[in-house]
Amino acid sequence: MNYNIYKEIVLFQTPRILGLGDRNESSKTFGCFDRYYWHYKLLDISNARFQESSFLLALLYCNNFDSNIFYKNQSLFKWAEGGIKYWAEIQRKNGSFDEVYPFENSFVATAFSTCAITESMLAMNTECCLENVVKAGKWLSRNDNFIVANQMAGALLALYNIFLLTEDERFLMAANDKLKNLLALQTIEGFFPEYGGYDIGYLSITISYMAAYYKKTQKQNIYDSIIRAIDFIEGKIQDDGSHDYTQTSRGTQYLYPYGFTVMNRINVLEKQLNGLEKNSIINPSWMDDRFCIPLTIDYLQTYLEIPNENDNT
Amino acid sequence: MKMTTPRLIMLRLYNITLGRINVFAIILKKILIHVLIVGKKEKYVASSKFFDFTDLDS
Repeated sequence: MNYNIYKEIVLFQTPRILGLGDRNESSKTFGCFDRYYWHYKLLDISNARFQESSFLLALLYCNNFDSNIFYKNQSLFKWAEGGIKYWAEIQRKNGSFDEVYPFENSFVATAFSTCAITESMLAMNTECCLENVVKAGKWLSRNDNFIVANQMAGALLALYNIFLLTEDERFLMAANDKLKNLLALQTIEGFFPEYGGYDIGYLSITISYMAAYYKKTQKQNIYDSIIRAIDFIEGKIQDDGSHDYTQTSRGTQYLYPYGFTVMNRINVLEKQLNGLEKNSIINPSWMDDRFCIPLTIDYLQTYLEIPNENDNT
Repeated sequence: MKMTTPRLIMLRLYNITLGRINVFAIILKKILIHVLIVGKKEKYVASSKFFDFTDLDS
């Protein structure tokens, strides 16, 4: 199978995502990736989730593979770090972040943006804004969202990353608590509920973040849980990578592939590749700006994960 | 000038009250064009500031 299509989609989306960011160092909003805020001035807050772009830039900066002109490019490093610093600027005093409206204290925005920022810091070996990361970690330790499992998985990985950055055992304990709560959500059928039912797209996000956590920790209990979730999802994916989303709890059309790669469930990827090659299934280029970013990151992680199949050096 | 919550509230209040009357809608548009576009030192174009590969060399 030609796994390069993941790389091709990522490199095609990268200029688009860079265009979302304020790359003018003299600007007050340098590093902000919410173009609707800093450029069009349509919104009164900057959505923290756009700052996840830093992780894409960090991965491109750190990984040398064919056609990656961004590898070790100093401008890219500057923009990635600018994204981290702007993320710190828009943090609420209590450590949380907003996605849609002021003082929202959004669990999803705090979990996923912190996760992406900490992944960027680990990849780029930078400790800028460590204080802000700690504040976000404390907020995530105190808060949960049990009805949306994928957000709990994001919080789990964020907290574990903060432990890796700070070596503060409190965050390891908080991650363990999140893991315990997350595993308790899994149903007998194997899925993690999203607003009361299963949803393939969100379940693939949960699998992706859990697999990233498993890769770092090698914990057997999370391995078994991920396998059960993949067993649930696998039969629902058609040969062209599509699935029937009309009856799922959230109706998401996409599939995050990284978790299947980490767990070596290549048959799911092969189905997705069939659809991607024919451009018959949803991929980052079909999506709006805010959802394009995390899926593009997942595609790049997928490409980088496949051993001996890509030209990643 | 960035959008802030008080500015957004004021704008929307104006939009749904005086802004319903054509002459006030025109006045608002003229003010916005002056404040955000014509009066700026740096030229504003909605479709500007996208990525250019030459940016990598900066």
